[in-house]
Amino acid sequence: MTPIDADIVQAAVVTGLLALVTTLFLLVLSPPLAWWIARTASRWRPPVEALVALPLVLPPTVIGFYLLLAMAPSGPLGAIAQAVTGAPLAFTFAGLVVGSIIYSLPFVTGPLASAFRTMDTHLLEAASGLGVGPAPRFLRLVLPMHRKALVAAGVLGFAHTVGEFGIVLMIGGNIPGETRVLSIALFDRVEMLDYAGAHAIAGLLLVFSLAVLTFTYRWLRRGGPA
Amino acid sequence: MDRRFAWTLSGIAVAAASFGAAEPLRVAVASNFQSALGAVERGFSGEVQTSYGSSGLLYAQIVQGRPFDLFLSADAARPQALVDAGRAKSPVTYATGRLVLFVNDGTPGPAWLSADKRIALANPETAPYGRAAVQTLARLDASPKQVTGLNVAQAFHFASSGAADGAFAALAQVISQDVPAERYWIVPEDLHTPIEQVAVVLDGPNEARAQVFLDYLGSAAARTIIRQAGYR
Repeated sequence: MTPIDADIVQAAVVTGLLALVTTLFLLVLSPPLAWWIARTASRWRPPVEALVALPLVLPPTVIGFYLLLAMAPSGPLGAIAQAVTGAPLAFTFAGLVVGSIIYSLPFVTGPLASAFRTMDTHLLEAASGLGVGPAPRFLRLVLPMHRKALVAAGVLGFAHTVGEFGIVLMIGGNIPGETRVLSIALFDRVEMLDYAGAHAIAGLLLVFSLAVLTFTYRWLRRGGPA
Repeated sequence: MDRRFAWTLSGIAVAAASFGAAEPLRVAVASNFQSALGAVERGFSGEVQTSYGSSGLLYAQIVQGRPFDLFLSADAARPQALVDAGRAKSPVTYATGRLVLFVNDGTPGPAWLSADKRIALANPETAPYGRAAVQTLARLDASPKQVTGLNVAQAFHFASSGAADGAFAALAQVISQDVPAERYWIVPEDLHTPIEQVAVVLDGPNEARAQVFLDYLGSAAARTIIRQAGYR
C-alpha cells in the first residue's frame, strides 16, 4: 500500500488551492501597498511598514489566537462575514484565506517594496511630464518594469502559504476537504503513529519547497535586470 | 492496616527520602487532567515537572524516546501498548473522565445538537474525549457540524472563544473554568465507552519515584481532590 492515500491527496488539493487563492489576493493587494511604502514621505509609513512586517516576527499561534477571536460570530471579522455571506468565518476555507493573506503579506510586499525603492525615477518623471496620471504610470510602467520581482514575490507568497501551520492550527478546526492542509495532516499522522504517511507528507512538502525555490532563483538569474 | 493507607505511608517515606533529589519527576499528562493534577500536586512533597498534550502526541513522544518517568494517559490503550512493548509497568486507572456538552447559548442537551450548530471536539483519532464525543453523537443520532481540536483543551477553547457554538469537553475543564452549571450537560456514561484514564510507570532511572507519585494519586486524599475536579 502506498503511504499516499486519499486523505493526503485531499489535503494537498486544499493546500494548493489555499496557496493559489491567497497569492492571487496578495498580488492585487501588495503592489500598491509596496509602492506606497517605497515612495511615501508620510509619517504613517513606519507604523504601516511595521504592521505589514509583524507576521515575520510574531509566532503564527499569536496571530491565530487573535484571529479566532476576531472571526467568532461576535468578533469584528466574524460579524462582517456573517452580514455579507450569512456564514461565520472561523473554521472555513475563507477564514484560512484571510489568515494566510495576513501571514504571507510581508513575503510579497517586502521584496516588492525593495524593488520599487531602487527603481530609476527618470522614466517616471518623463511619463509624468507627458501628462500620464499616477494610476496609469503605476499599471503601465512600474508593474511591467518589475515583472520579475512580481513573479518572485508571488512564488514566495505561494510557497510560504503552503508551509503555513500555526495559524491553520488555531483557526482551521481540521475539517477534511476544507481546512485540513498538508502540515496539519502531517501533525495528525505523527500523533496517530502513521509514520509512513507522515514521511510521505513531509517529503512532499520538502521536495516541493526546494523545487519551487530552485526554479525561482534560476529563473531570476536568467537574462538581464528587472 | 488498610493497604492503601500503608501504600500512602510508604509513599510519603520514599518521597521524603527522595526529596531534594536534583531532578524533578517528569510526568507526561493528558490535557484534560491539567487542572486536577495541579490541585493534586500541591499535596505531594516532591518536585514534579509536567508536560501536557493529547495522549496520542505524548505517547508518540515517549515511543520516540522523550524522557518521561510517568505517563498519565487519557485512555487505557496507549499505556497498555507501552506495557506490551516492555517499556512501562504497573498500569492503574487513576481517574475516569466525564464528558460534557458545553454550549455558548441555549439549553445544553441532546436537543441542542441540531444540524445548524457547530460543535468542537477533540480529535477522535488521538484523544479519548474526542472518541467519546463521536460515539455520543452516533448514539443520539445527531449530526451538528464538527470542528476538531488537537485535544480536549483546544476543543474547549474553540467554543469558549465564541468561534464554535459549543464543545464536547471534559467535566474537569468546565469545573476548573467555573462555568455555570446551566451551560453544560454531563453526558450520561451509557452513551459512550468509559473514559478510563490509565497511568503507567515508564522504564528508566526514576521508576521508584514515579511509583511513589502514582501511589499517591491512589491515596484517599488525592482521590478526593480528583473527584472534586470532575472525575469519577
